[in-house]
Amino acid sequence: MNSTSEKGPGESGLYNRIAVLRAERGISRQALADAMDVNYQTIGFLERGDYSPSLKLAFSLGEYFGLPVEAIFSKQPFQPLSQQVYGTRTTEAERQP
Amino acid sequence: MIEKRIFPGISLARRKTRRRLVVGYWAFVLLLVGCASPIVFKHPTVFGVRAWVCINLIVGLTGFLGGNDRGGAVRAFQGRTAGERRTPPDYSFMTVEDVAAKIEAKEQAEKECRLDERDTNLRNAAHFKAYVFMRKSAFFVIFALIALGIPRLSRLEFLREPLLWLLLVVFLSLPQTLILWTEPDMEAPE
Repeated sequence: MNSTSEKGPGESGLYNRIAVLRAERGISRQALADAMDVNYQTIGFLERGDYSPSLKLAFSLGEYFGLPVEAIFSKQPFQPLSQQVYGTRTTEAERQP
Repeated sequence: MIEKRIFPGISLARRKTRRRLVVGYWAFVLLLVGCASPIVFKHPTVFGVRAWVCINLIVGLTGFLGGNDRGGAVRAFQGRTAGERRTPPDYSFMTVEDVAAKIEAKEQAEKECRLDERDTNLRNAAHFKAYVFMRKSAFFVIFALIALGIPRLSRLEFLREPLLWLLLVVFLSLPQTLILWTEPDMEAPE
């Protein structure tokens, strides 16, 4: 789901979580594009990391998802959200000496 | 930047398909220019049809790739329709309902062909690349003509009209071609 963090940042050099956030909220590309006042193709290119958004668009996305910009875009690969929320748990195999 | 996902009857979502379309378009243009120019310039009236009809045909053909107006493969570069650019709306002889319908239709058309920030960047980049290509080509052609010498140019007289027509098509469709050629695969709106 978090395509750009797994496959690389695309042409833009930026990793992003737009696809994950969109899927979590059950929003289509078209709906997000309408809310951002862009074409739906632009959302696709953003998700794949093929396009670096303007500051205005990045902040609009932040406002829309209720998150800071750095939670949506990053120069470093993102950790999976589940790992960030719950942290890493030591498995039985790791606990044994 | 691509106006429609399906045009003309084929999907433009994949870059490979778009490149085939572009190759087909340029092959057709070359064929048309190559065949039409000797006929038209030798016989200004061909089968009773004046030469300007053929010229309009070639110029009209450039609308296939879009860019200059709506209806082509690429979105209109101005982000609005040519009709709106040319004539200011005249509401003086219309009822209020007609005016409302016209404004609604205009807003819908504006929305459909509006360029967002990525489209605008892409359009500007395509025009810059086209300009650089034309500038270098012009330099090369002028340099070659001077090097060749004016007396020898009379031998190339037969190339004058086809090259002139080709130049017209290149000027009108090079940015669109670059966009169709380089734009990555498109996602579905869902």
